[in-house]
Amino acid sequence: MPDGRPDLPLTYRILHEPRAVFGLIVLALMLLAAVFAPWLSPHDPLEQDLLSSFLPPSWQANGDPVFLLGTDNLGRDIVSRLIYGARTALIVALVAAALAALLGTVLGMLAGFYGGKTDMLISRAVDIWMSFPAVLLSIVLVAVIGAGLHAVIIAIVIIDWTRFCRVIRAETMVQKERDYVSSAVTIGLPRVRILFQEIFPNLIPLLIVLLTLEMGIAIVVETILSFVGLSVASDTPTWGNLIQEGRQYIHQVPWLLGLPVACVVLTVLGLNALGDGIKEVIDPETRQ
Amino acid sequence: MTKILAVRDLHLAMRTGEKLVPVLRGINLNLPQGEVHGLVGESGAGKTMLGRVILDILPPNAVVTAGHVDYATTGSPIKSGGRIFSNRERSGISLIPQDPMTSLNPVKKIGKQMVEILNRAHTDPPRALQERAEALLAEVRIKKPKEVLKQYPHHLSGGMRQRVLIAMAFSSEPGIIIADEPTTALDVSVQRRVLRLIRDLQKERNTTILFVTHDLGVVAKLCDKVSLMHSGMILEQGLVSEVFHSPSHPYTRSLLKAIPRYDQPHEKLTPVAEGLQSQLLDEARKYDQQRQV
Amino acid sequence: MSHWYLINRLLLALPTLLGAVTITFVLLRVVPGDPIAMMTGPGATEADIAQLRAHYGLDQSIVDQFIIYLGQLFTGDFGTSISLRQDVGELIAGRLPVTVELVVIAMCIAVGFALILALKGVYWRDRWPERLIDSFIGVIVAIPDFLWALSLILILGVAIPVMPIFGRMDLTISFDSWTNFYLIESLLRGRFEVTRSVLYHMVLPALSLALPLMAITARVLKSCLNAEMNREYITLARTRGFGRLRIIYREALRNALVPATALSGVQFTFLIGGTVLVERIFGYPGIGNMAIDAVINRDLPLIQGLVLTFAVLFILVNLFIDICITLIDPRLRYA
Repeated sequence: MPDGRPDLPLTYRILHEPRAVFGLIVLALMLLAAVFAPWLSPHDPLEQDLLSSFLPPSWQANGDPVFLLGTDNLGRDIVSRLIYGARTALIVALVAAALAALLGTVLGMLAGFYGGKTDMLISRAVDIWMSFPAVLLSIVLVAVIGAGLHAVIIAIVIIDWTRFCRVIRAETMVQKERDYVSSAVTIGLPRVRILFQEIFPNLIPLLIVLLTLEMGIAIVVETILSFVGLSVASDTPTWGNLIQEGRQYIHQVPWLLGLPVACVVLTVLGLNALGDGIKEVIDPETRQ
Repeated sequence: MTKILAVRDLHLAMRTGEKLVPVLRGINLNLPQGEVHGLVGESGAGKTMLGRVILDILPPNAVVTAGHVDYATTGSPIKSGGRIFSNRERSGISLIPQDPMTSLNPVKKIGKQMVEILNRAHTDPPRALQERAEALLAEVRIKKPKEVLKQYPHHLSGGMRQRVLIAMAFSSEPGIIIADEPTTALDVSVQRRVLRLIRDLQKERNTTILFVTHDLGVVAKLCDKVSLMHSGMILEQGLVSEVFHSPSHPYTRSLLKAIPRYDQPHEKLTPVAEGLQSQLLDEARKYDQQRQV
Repeated sequence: MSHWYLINRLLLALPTLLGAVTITFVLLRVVPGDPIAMMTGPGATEADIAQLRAHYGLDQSIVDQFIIYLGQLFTGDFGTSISLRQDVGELIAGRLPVTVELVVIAMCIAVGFALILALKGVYWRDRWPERLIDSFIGVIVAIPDFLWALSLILILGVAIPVMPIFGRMDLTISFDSWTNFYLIESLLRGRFEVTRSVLYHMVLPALSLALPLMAITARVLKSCLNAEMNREYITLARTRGFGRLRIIYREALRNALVPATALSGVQFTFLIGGTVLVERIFGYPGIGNMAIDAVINRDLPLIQGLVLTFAVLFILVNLFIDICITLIDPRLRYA
């Protein structure tokens, strides 16, 4: 940051921002679940046990201590499915958000820095993009590309690059007017170098915030597509598939829907809090 | 002459975090009816804050740490400084603001804004209030008052807006008006006319005016008495003629030297010396220490 | 405001519409699944399929298909749905009122609550109620409509089963509607039991759509109001002895609405997009629900018609917001 306070290191300040800490804890839990899923899960998430289907969580009257949070319609262990679901969610979140950021940032920087026709072309494309309902577009896209994790990721990137593009374009235009850019122009640095070596580092804090928020969005989109039945094969444990199953048996076994919804809500809240927390720390101007 | 406003040993501080930063340090000010009192000082001297204390519109983090403002609506005895004015007292004191461009509500017609103010002081039917607003605009020498009433602020020039604001300030027939640098934001050609207007209206109604400014020239033309402020203290106070001819405080002398004079066009202007500035700040600091002991 | 302004705005929207139509058209032609094969099933002969393909114009080149499609659009012909074998225009016209009613009610809820939250927050500035409102907004804003729908079903439909969670109204009531605008029509015809049932069924889907919009609007409006409260004309109003409540409502609010409406305008279009899922989750028979079916069935003409409908809705909402801003701010009225 050009006018960041040098008195305390950034990590220290982030670790003293309660919202950021909450977000980091959620993210850490997810990471843990995703990486160590095979060791953490008490059962194979695909192992069916039709004799013990629809078991309630273990502390309830008919619960079985072997299945901590109960079982689904095919008698699969919910804890294990949730843990493996976190793995899918995290992969989608990381890959999709990073790719959307890459595409959106590059286009946004070009539009903001070069202006003129480049800007008009890119901005117009963003406008048209935003006139689609994002959800419908993603469903259409997945229908076109075909179901599967890669389709979900591509759909998210194609839709959400605009989020990065708009914000980064505006910030690039702000940075372009700063003195350090003028002095770089004066000493005759090539324009592309100014854009990527001088301006880009100043966009990073903003980019981190956007990335964090985008990860939350990507997880929700994956859930939505699974829910509609367009993500990965329906027996694969993803939170969206769990929600889709749960929705069918909502009156008999509400926890089947409640548990994955709780996971998604917690994750989304965490990532949002992390984004807000970081924004607060790196950008004192946004404080009221 | 009846005393209409008395500020007694007023101390004001702004709360920033845990600390209280003094802004006004022991202000004493007496305003008799009909006096135009100039309050002069550079920015940061505390003159705007003093106006705000008198108007009772302090920001929430400002604290009156000692002293009080005694205030009398015309004809009634001086009231001791319990804060929070009643509406009746409010109408006894009004403000002519610094920036006419931002001081009118942009989404309301002039007529509506004026009637709303008049409505607080009078119980007349709307029709009569409309006429009264029109008469007021005529009094501030607006040529087509009927049309102006139907216009929005953005239709009017800065000078016109300031006239409207002056009409509003006089509309409640206040005993006191605080004029907070009312001409600073205007063109030089408009400034003189607006000043004359304020002076004329003041003479007609015998209104008391506390005229906040950093322009000693304006003070010389307009005011009866003057107070010079620096770092929250009044350094010199007296009749304008006396202060200007025989200033007693070095700061006053130095300020007077910084005014361009028409009769001596080649005289070099001398800014207020830095040494004097820091000396004044030191005195303010010493004052704070003594008060704490 | 002049008619020219409106006409101009609508003309400016045309390229966007054309862009939306083109992109969907191109995207959908590269769909690997064969809609005709899906429609006819395994028993069909080659000749049958070829005939149907010709019937739906799918045997021509993409460019030709596009030109024919555009020509049909200009005459108001949206084509025939492949899966439902009905006119797309009629299908959409039948479902659109359902979504429009839902969207309008949701927007009213969102704006109403946003106003209350923002005004209360500003009134209690720097005191605990403001902080409470801020954290409330912060939590609400983070959760998208899809998750709200599921959470509300769990809380108010299952845990405390007080609200219906499926359909547009009780199936036991029979209501033969002419317009499909159930709310207005039932009110006008005096069938209040229908109105009641429709409203009752609307609560949860409308709330799911409204909550995120409400939170973001409240946040924007609140910061605009706070900025407005620092302006000079507010100080002047204070010197005239107007109370804080009156100053917020009668002086600051209208001024703050101008930037707030401009800033949160996009969010209103997001609400329309949200109907796709929320209608799906609540089994609500609007165009959003229809869109998912259309995609799953690869019903090209229907998907196209629906995307176009959504784009038109987006543009109309944007236009409506622009008109609102011009009405609120006299400075823009004669520009």
